[in-house]
Amino acid sequence: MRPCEPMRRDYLLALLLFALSVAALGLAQRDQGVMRDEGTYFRASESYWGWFAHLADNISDGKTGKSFDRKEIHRYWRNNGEHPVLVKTLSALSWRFLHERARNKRGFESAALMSEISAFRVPGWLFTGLAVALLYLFGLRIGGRACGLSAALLYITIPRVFFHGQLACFDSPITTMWLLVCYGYFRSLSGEKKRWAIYTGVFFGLALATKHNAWFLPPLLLIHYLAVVWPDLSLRPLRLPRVALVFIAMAVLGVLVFWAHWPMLWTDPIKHLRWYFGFHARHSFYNMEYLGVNWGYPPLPLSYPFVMTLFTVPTITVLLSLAGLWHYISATVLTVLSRWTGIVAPKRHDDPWRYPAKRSWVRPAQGLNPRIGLLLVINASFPLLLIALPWTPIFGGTKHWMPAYPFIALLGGVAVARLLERLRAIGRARAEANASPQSSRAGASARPVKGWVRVMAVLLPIAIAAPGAVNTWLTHPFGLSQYNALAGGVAGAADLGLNRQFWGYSPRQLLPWINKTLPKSANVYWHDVSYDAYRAYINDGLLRPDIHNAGAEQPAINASNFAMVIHELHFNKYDYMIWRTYGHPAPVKVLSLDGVPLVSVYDRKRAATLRRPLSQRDRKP
Amino acid sequence: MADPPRKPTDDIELELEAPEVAGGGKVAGGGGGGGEGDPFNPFGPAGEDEALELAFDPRAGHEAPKHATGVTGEAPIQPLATGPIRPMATGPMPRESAPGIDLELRGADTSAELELATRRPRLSGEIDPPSARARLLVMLALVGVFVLVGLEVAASMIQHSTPATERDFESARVFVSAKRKAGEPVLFAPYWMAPIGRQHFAQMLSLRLSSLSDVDAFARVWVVSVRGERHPWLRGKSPKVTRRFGGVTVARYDQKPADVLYDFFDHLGDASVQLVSGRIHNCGKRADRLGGMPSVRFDCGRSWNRVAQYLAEVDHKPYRCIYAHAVDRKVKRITFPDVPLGARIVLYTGINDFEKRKLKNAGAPVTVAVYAGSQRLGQVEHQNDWPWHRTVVSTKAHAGKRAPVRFEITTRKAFGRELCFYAESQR
Repeated sequence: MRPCEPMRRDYLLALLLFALSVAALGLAQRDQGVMRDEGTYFRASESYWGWFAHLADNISDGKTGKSFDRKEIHRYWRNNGEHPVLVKTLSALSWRFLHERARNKRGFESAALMSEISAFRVPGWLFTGLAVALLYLFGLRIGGRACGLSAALLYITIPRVFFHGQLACFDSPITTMWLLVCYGYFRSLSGEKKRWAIYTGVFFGLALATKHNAWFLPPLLLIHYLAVVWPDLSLRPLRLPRVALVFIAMAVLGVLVFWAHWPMLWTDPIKHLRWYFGFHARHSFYNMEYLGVNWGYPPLPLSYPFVMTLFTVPTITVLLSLAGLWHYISATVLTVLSRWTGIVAPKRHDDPWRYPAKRSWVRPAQGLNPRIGLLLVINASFPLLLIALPWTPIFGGTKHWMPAYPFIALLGGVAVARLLERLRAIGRARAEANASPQSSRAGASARPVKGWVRVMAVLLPIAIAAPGAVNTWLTHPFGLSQYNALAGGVAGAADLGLNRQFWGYSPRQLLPWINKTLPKSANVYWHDVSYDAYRAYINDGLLRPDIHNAGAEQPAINASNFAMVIHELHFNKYDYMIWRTYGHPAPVKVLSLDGVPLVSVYDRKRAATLRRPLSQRDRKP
Repeated sequence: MADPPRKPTDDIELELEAPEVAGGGKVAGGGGGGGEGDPFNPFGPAGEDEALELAFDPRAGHEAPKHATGVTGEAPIQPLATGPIRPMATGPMPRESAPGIDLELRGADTSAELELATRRPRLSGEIDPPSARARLLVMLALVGVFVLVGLEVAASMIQHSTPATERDFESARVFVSAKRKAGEPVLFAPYWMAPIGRQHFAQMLSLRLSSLSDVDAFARVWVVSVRGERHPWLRGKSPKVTRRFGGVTVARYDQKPADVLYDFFDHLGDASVQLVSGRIHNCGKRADRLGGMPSVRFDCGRSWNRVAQYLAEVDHKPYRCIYAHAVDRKVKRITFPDVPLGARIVLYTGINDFEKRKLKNAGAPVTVAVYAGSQRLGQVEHQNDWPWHRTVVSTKAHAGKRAPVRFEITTRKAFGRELCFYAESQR
């Protein structure tokens, strides 16, 4: 592998990857339903924007202080207070400037640049695009261009990454921020440029401001740091390891940024933080189907995140990341195994890292092995292990361990780089053989071999991204129903009893049918579609405004004349509630993907024409 | 382990021949690093791949540093080979490094140790010239990657393109509707595809036929399936008729039907319901509606405390059953006055899924005891985590007779014990 310092063309390629990713996500999300969480965040963003608008008014009225009043802050920022507000505030800005018609001083109303739903989602695409670009640069520094390109493409073509990248949620942004913090930390270790330690502190603060996952980062990085400085520690066990600037920056700047970004912390920091941590520590459990069983209480089986990763991440990505992992651990594993088995230990190389360079708090790992493999493995495994822990609340969705995916992609990139390196070595050996006087083919050029390797360096990253890209294409816009070929696709996963979807977003694909078919003022039981999502559909003109929302649970089913069930195993009860109410088990419309039902719609009127008494034997005498 | 730093090893050797470099001289040629890089920095600017390859060409061995002999101060190192050596590690060598090395060398007593100290270390990331076996493995790995990619793409596309179509279902529906006799059940397999099946076979379905506990009572059963799945109730049996319509398979199973003498669900209106705890409390009978149709309900207290014809969800499936929530310290007694008895009573029991989930580890078992007259025929203690559970109670001693049959429901803790049961008297 040939780690590189990025050159101008690398930055251009990173920019291109960013732009293409953002464009692809922006185009794809136009068909995407509104998730339950998104609807909540839309509402929160609007509320937050209200504070900014009011602030502007207060400033012009000379009452700026009023906006920082506890009451005023609570009025606008209390909404969705269990999550920090960075992404929602960015969504508020994009919504305001890209969608909301703005009346300027001359009374001119500018046209919306995009739909309301799209405008809220713009930050999500940008974060995801940033991760793709960053992966290229990170991979470049670890294993060269092929490594970076492979990692970037492997990441964005993980179908569920692409799915979450479209949304106005925090899962893709926190994945990006997690990666960014690790990248900054990696750059700061050598002290090549001191400012990276400072940057990392700010990145960490922004990561905290994105989602609570970021609180796990410092201990992970500390573990890695201790492994890096172990050669020094082992030599001077009684001396404390030097405290790296990066950790000081994370402790000071990180916390400062986190506090500064969240107005709720300005007035009641302790109270709100206590509530915030308490909320997540005692998070309610979600229902999750896994191997045919509905899991509603922890612990989920230990295998859950690993099997779900195996069945949702393209198989080639998983295999390549395992190969990349092997690259880093093979020497250690084989050496250990050689003690007890007939395996020959690999040749021991001199450690080129034990160089007595001066290290300091600014250059904490100067001359030491940065143990990049360990950094990747820690970050690729920790998010999965966290979900696998028996006391972790049941969250379920693969999105909860998505911060692992960039590192899985990087490990895949390392494997590709390693393979290309071997190919280059073969090419060199051939060229040498051709150039030797003994060779009958003396004078033959090494250029064709080299050219072939160069073609491979481009072709291979693109090829390995193909399975994920195809799978994404085939399952769009039902990203949460996606399963890879190893699981047997969507239908295979249904056979295996794996979760079909969540978040109530798939009925978006029924809206054209609903608009066309349902009578005027139809009262619909929308099941798991949130009221905010329903409102967003109407606001964006995707749903006829005369279609009503009947509400929730049995009273809504009783009042409805159309009822919907979004198929998840634990939602089967709603099917039967509708049967009990409408009197017939046949839906009038079923939305499906690859033959697997996702949503059923029942029509009360039609059911009435079909129903028969339940208590008369229907059997032929 | 990451790739090791390439440059420092060369620098060690530079130290040996040109110790004055340690005084702060530049050691690398090119300048792609702009002078900002650090030769000991593993992350330092390595520049274009080509340059690195040349600089660390294993062929150079420890001959390489000889090219740098005589380097002093700011003098650039000559490239190891022709070609663009671009941004190798550049920048000042740390002063602190030199004494350490000197010390090591001064302490070398033997020529072997000196040789060890001065030779160019082999780098852990460095590739040996590949053997024939290694070449074969690399080529296999490369081909393997492309084959895997091809397989995964092909498999995804095949999986996506092969589900049963609307047309397949319609053809199957036409076939079944032509052959099926009224009242014969149509089952769907696998269960997850049932909504699509119910949509297409709506005319042949009813709540009753969609909420059966078994199909023992039917002489002919139709199964509409996809993906070669068989219905669990009919596993081990061979279909009499099988027809394929694209991705949809229709199978007809013929069997000797069980002779049902009495369906307790259907006759709930004839029953009496009591709560017994020292004294007897009669539960009032009410007309109710289920599925838009008339049904029967007995109120024993609050809304949960009732006995009624119901459609319950147990183990995520629908069952037509008698709802009978257990009550603390009381026996819920449901008596059917005049039941024809045969060889057995087939009893199914289940606890509503939602309650079952809610009380995963704390849900008390519910006991259902069956009496004929005053004789206790049998009982089942239904555990919280059981699915829809079948129990067969022998009534051979009463075969051919009519007797009052009583179901008594008890539990030690009634919270969330939303029991539902279905029973038939069979010949």
